[in-house]
Amino acid sequence: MQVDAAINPGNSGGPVLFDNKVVAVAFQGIMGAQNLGYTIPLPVIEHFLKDIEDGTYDGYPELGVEHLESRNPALRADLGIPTGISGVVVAYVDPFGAAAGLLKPRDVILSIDGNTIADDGSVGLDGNSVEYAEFTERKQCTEKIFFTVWRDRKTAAVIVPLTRKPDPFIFRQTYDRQPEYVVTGGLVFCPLSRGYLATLGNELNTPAAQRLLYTSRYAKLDNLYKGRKQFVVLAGRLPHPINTYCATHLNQILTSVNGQPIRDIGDLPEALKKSSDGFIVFRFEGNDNPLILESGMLQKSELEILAQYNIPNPAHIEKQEIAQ
Amino acid sequence: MRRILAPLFSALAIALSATAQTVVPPHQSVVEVIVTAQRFDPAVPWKKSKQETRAGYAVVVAEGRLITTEDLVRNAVLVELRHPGDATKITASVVEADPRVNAALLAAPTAGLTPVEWADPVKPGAKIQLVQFDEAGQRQNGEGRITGIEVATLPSSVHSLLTFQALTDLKLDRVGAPAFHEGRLIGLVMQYDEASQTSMVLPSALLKRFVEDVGHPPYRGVAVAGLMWSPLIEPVKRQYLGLPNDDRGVLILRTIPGSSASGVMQAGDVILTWDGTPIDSQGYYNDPDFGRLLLVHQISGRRHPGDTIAVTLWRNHKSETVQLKLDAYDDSRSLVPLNTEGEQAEYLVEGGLIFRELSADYLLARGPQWMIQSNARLVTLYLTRALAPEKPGDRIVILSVVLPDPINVGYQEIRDEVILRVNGSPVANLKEVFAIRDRDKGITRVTTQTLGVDLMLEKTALDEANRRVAKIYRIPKLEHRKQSLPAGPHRAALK
Repeated sequence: MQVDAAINPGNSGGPVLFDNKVVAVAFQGIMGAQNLGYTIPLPVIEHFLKDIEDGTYDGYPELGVEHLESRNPALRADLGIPTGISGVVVAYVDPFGAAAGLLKPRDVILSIDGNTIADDGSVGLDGNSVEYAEFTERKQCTEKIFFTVWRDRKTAAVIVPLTRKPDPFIFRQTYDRQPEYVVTGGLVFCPLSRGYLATLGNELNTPAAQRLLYTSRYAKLDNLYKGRKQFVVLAGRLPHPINTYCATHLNQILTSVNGQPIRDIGDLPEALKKSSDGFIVFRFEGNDNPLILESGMLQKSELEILAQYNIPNPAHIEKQEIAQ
Repeated sequence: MRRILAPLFSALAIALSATAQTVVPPHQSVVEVIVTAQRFDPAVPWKKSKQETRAGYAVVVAEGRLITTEDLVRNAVLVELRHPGDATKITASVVEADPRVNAALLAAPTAGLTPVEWADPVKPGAKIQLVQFDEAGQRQNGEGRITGIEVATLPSSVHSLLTFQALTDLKLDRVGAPAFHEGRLIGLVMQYDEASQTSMVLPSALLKRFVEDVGHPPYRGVAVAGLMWSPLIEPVKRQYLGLPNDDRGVLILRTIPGSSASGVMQAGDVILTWDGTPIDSQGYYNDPDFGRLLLVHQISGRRHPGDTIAVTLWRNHKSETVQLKLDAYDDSRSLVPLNTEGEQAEYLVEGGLIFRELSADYLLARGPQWMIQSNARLVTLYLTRALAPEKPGDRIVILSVVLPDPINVGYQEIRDEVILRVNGSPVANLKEVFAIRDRDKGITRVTTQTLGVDLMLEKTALDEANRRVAKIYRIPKLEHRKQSLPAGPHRAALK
């Protein structure tokens, strides 16, 4: 919600009043404009307060559906949509979204909670025209949402229980959590994350960084995530004679160590223990050139590097949220 | 009159220089080149970009034949030559141009000019003379010195080649300025950096080979081995491969599918000797002419496509010698071709959907930040799989953009999407899309990699939509199909 009151540094969190009642919370101004500010509107605040009533914050439920408009006559004919019926065509269902397994591509969503969806995806709500996804945003996780869909040339009712499943491949900004990492031989490995991509900055215009960017955007669309829980990246190198020749592999995705696939950062310490003939062989995505360390030298270097760079712990690995 | 006399005159000149063992003043073989060039817009394949004019130099190498750099005549619509100080312009044609070596051979009357002689290979430190002409046609002579000889990336392509670095006292403002050593051509200047006063020179050794190769048609281009390798300097990796720690050998990372290397070599092999010469752990060998050079020159600069060479490999902890027949470099065999020369892309506009194949120039056209500006999936395909089609002829077919029209309503936001099937049939390249369109008299169903729903076009409305799109978007032709080209580099012969 935009207001024409000045919002200056220090005002964030202040109330926006209307008739002596709070209608929003101030949070940001616009640089280069006078007296233009943005505030968090009531529906968002109410959603948040209701969410934390049970003591835990779940966040907004996510449907995980991408759609196409259903206006195209040839597309309508292909899906057998009768004239006079409007809605949106499901083009992609996110495997981690609430609708996974319930809605599918080629479904035409006709209504949401009893409200008709127009061909462009809009729904009339409180006198406004809003994106149909707004309906899910107004609900809490654990609530349900009711769809009427056109599927296999007839209507069907679909009930989607709203959830927010842990999705390691959405690469959202995370807060208040120490990043996971493993340091071995001065090589710093960490899972690919939004925070990590943000650190790349000027390096984004390099092939290795592009691969990370592609991975973060297309992990699910191109099925890169199959068989993995994380993408583990060689994020840094703490220079030491053992890793003199390792800099060329920075920002690349680790696929295996000593033949053991690396599906998440937790696989790494185990795989490091299985040396093959006294060598540790690291392989990276899209790189035919492996990185090879000698296990004896590696073991000898570990404490030395940790001491030299003042690293209290060689690894930080969170316990998996989902039971394996 | 001038034309008739010309052959007599130059024949006389050659005879004189041969018998007297004296060298003709080099500037008598140099002409100015004025090029009007216009390339096709890599993003809008039916549109030509704004025309540009370039100026440079060419050097007479034989009666009626001149050599210059390929980047000077790239996408030329008109090539004109001018004798320094003479206002008369002579039209020239491009006999052959190869961006892989940045060399072009021109054909034009060369009356009054004397062919150059080729200089023998030089060592760093060799003195050179440079010649260029000012606006008035006044000759400017410069002096310089070869400061380095190395395989480096060319200024106008992604390819690497033998180059000279030269420090000169003349501010060189045009491409193709000739450099001489003791009156003989040592190379053509490809690039000049004013701040450091250094030039990048295309060596005459390569130019001479190019001229000879063009003289024996068909021109087959540069030899390639079809493999990727990496230096092997890490002691631990050498130990792992069981190699002696003697500073020899490079690691083969990958062989290009379909190349002749793919049959005889494999990833993990180590190249110990190449063509009879030891290769060090950084990929250098000792060239008899130019000293320490990267392996690349031994392939592209000393051998021809079709030559068979012996390679000693370290494989499974022992050495083994294999015979390798070198291939000709052929951009069209790539999954994502470079199209360095900027040829018009093949395309098809159907119902406002633009179908084309992914190529490097399409991505690079987005400027220095092209990696960030382009679709991440397409960038990654180019960066990681460009040279490796699963089967010969494979390309990435894309829906580059949708030109809004009533027939494609609902699809207009879609761009740079990979196309898997057209009218239900899988498509491996644009030729197959053309074939399906011809067979079915129109494209009505497009399956993309991302969308789980096919993009449909109404068949009965297609013809009218195509006419409308052509008119509104001013598309002169709704498709461009290339005649199937013979293997080898592009022939830019101008009529």
